[in-house]
Amino acid sequence: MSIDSSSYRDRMNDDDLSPELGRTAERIRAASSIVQPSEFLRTKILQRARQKEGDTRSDRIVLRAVMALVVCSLLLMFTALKLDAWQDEPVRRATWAGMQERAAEIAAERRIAVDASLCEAYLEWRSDLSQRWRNSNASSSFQP
Amino acid sequence: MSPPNHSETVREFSQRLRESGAAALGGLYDLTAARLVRFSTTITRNQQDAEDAVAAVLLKVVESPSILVHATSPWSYLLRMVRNESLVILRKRKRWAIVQSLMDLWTVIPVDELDREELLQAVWRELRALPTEQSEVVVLKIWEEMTFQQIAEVLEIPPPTAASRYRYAMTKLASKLSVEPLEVRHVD
Repeated sequence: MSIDSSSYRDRMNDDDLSPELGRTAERIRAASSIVQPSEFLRTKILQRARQKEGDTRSDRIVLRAVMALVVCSLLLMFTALKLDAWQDEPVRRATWAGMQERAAEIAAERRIAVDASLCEAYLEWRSDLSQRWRNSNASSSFQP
Repeated sequence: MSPPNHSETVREFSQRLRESGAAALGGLYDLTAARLVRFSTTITRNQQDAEDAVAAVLLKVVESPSILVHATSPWSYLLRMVRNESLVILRKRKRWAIVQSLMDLWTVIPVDELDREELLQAVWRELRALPTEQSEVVVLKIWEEMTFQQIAEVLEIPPPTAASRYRYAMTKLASKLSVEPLEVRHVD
């Protein structure tokens, strides 16, 4: 048997083989179909394919559900941030904490410290005033 | 016998598979499974392993039929996939021992061939006794009627290497099989 370069491109015919090898090739060709896939292979493969397809579909559903959950979580986070910012708005003053905060602001604006120093200032002012009253009454009583 | 447009038929079935999903696998199976199992058996030397390889490949095709639809030669590509899968299984199971018996093969002898059963089984026995790289060339050349160029593409070897492997294999087979002239009938 000789194999030239042209046989790489074209199918080698049995004519190209020696009679002995040609007969061997024929015998091999005749034995081609005696080995067959086992009875249940077809069912097994089709069943697995359908199962896999079902699994893929379930995976897609789960993926979509997870994506929807992520989107919902992001929306919730966004809303929470918005609510946090809203707390700084004047509406917040309607609450007890807000009112206390506003009272502190007013006190700061008027430069009055709502504590003991205010009482001290008041007492000082009152004693000063009473002193003036006493002085003015005394000077008017010594007048002729 | 391999129709000349077998590759195009495989492409057509793969296209259906892409459009209809697993429901269309039956067609591709009927078209290719017997030949793929036959080819894989020459590599794995065990029908169970061959069927596992074919099942794994067909399931991969179901997952992404586009690989066959877009392949230059879908049939050659499918054969190459089966070959690679068979080699993986072979490596995994380390079944290098040549099985001399055909007990593991699911053989079907046509009624009119019963008188030649022993002769036909002898072919398989001798094919399995060959080194894998030689038996796969014989299978592709004689049963798949491929050119050495096509065989070279499937096996990823140069065409002259495929040709020389074929030559060595045929010489060995001729010496092993009795070569007295026989009335050979084709089994389709």
